[in-house]
Amino acid sequence: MRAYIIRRMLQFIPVILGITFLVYSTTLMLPGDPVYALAGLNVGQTEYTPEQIERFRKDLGLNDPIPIQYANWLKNAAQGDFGESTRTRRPVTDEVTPRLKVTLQLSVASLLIAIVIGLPAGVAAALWRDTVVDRSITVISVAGVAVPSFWLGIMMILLFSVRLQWLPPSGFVSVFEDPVRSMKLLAMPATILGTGGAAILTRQTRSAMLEVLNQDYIRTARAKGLSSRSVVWLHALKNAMLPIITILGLFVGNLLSGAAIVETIFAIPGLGRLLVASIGIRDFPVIQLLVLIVALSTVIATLLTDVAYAMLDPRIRYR
Amino acid sequence: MTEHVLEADANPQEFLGEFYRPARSPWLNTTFQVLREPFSAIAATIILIFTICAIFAPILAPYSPTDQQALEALKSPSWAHPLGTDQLGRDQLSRMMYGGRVSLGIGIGAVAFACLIGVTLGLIAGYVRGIVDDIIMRLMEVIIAFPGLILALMLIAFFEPSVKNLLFAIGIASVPGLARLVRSQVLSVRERDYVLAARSIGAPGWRILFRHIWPNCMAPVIVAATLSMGFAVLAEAGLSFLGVGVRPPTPTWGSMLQFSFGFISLAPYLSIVPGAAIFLLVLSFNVLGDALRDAFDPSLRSR
Repeated sequence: MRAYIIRRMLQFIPVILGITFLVYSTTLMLPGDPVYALAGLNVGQTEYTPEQIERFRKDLGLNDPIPIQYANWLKNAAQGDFGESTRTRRPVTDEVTPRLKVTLQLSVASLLIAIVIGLPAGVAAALWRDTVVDRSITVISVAGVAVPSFWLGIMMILLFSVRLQWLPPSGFVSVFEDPVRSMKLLAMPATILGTGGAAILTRQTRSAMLEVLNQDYIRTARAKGLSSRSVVWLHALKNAMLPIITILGLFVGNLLSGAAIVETIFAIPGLGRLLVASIGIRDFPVIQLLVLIVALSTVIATLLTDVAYAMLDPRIRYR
Repeated sequence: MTEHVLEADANPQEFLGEFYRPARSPWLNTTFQVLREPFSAIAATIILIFTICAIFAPILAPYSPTDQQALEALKSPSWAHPLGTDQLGRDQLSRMMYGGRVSLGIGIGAVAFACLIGVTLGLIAGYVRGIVDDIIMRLMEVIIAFPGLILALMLIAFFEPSVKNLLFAIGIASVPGLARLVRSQVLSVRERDYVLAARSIGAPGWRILFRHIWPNCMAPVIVAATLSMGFAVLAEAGLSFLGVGVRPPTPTWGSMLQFSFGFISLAPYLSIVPGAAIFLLVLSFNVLGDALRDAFDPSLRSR
């Protein structure tokens, strides 16, 4: 098992190098002279003399050959130094860290919602296949994939905040400070962020369960008189877990991009809102770190998915 | 025996009697099969209506999408303004029609770009194999690590949000999926007997690739392209909603939603309609894509 994990991790090294290079190279593709964008200057700003601009250029290492620039950037990044925000002049990591905790709380809540809705719905659709239950669940899950999260958010605010006045329309409180208010504030954003995942999880669980329910060992389990509850939840679901885990792995990567929209609607001070704000003011070092966090978490989620696969199905390890 | 066969060849209608069906191309057959399903027929109709509204917006729209009538601001739906007016007094129906041009236009453009690049890379990777294949596939793995919307946001941040850059930024997210799909198709098709037959009569490599392999890889590409349309429309609307899409005053469904979000308690219809349109369009592309997949490959039909 350890050998398998190490082998998989080694295979990810070129991918991680590729990701870091792609993120870094965006600065090379900036239109015009990157010194202005990276030093946070406006083009043709007159309060700086050409000598000062030249010093910025030298400090930022923009005179070095590109591979050297990339190597330096990577070296600094590995030590947690991603440069300064061009807006606040503070280290980028200081800007990002407090917001990471916010987005993590939102993501965990959405993931729980996706699993709590998606798994039972998929199992129910498979068990009552081709009945009204199955059809309704299928229709809802098809709609759940297509619904724009921002529209769903606005509609929920319209219903629960404006009309019924049950939930506050926006804001964020950490769950560790005030759990009740935190849950009220997170209810809508987490549901919206979890909707897409729940819908895909439902479809995947349904087809995985249908596949498994036809197997001989399920018939054997039933034949030896096990209750249908234990057949479904212990025997069938356990064997249907592989495709379900893949979907969950993909969903983790998408949580952070979904957060960009949901956090903007609900005024949640997380990574997504920071990303959108930084794009508006072209704060490139912040954008780079945020994109890097998203891409690396996607890769880690993929790696964890593979490891979970190998743990659940020992055949995979020896392939 | 031989006579019967000859007879059947000469006049199949007479020979087969009531079992006779005129020969049709498999593509046409698939189209009919898909449209016979009620859900996919509805989906195709919705896409058709939206497309007509978008193409003929200058003729069909009752008002200019950018004409501001201060006295008419925030009017509820009425005969004069079927979908009401926004806070600047612009006719919402006209803006919806013009907004559809952006949604569909960028969707089609992005998917066309993705197909062009993705199919080419997939064909090369699958046909040439070896080191070229490895390089292309590693590159695709790198791109897949960025969720679609994040990739688009990053590219838009570094380049100006022009229509051309939006096409590129949204389309690139669908490239790895298409490239992998085409590659795996090529790998399986190139081993078929008809490819071997073509090779044995001395057909050159390019002819085998474009005449025999490429056409036989297309069915799953059409399915994937239809499903990608849903993603592209959703991504364009999302970017516009976040204020990093097509610049005002050009109306888009996403920017209309964002613009009227502040007036949600005063004029909810301004938020309901554009979002519902995006939802319907994306839903239609997804339903149509699923139906096409079932039609092309019945073995994949979700049981």
